[in-house]
Amino acid sequence: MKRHIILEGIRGSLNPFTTKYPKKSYIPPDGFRGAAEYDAERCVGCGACSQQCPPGAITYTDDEKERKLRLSYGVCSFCGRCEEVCPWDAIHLTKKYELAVYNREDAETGVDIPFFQCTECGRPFFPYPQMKASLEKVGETLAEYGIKQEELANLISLCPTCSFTVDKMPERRMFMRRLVK
Amino acid sequence: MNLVRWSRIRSPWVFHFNAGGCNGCDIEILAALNPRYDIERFGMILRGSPRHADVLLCTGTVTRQIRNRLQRIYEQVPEPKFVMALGNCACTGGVFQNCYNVHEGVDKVVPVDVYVPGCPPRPQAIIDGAVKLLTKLSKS
Repeated sequence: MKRHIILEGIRGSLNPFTTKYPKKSYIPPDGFRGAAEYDAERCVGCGACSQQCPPGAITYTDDEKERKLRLSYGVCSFCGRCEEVCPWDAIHLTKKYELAVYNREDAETGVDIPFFQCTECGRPFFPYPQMKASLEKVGETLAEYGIKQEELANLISLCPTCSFTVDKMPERRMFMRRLVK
Repeated sequence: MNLVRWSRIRSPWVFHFNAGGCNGCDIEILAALNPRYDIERFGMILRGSPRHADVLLCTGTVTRQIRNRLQRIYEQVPEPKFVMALGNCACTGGVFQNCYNVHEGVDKVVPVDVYVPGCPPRPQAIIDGAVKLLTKLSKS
């Protein structure tokens, strides 16, 4: 019935039972929740992971050109919520567990996402990969209603400030009306 | 001098102190001490008194109540002394960050040599941290 336990007991009494860990590397079993890592090619910088992270380990800071997503292993509780919520399948828990560091700041990972610049004023305001991915996602639905993808891209290529000040206002309003229909 | 250093690297006796954790890390320390993982291979013996120890193995986020005790225990460890912060709470405060009653990490109170993140860290991760501490010792 419990043959494997008895077998392991016999094996343990014949050979040394201690693992040879630092000399021989150890791979944790499947389902082990280790350090999370970003897939830099898939991440679009939407920040869903940072919004849902229970201990607040994932943070992002926006500067002039990039959105910097940072995951601190010192705060992470390895719950896997980020992997669950990521709409782009860009963050995964790995089997990495050797995270010991000499400085507190070293235990972190992250990606830098470039911003899209407003076509009128040149102000960066939105992660560029997210804009591209969103357009691709809604492209088919738009085609059903006879709206070209470029038209929508044109609409959202202006920053919130410019979209209310430029003289293309009536044109944009007409387009919005078509979208609502 | 070399003999002293050699013996220091070969027998870093540890004192374990829980500064307000949930006991998860403490149980992993026990797992690292048992014959399966056997941290005594590196000469690490758990001592009952800080006066016998070289390494202070500190777990748990430092609560306001325990801060003075941690300081006093750190002062009792004879020189040269080393501190290992074990687990996320000891590293940064972990899930207790921004709580009113914690000091968010051991390094706010006493200097820390090695941080071992994990919630809790595996016994292998503790061994890895110990090996990194010993490498630091042998280089210094």
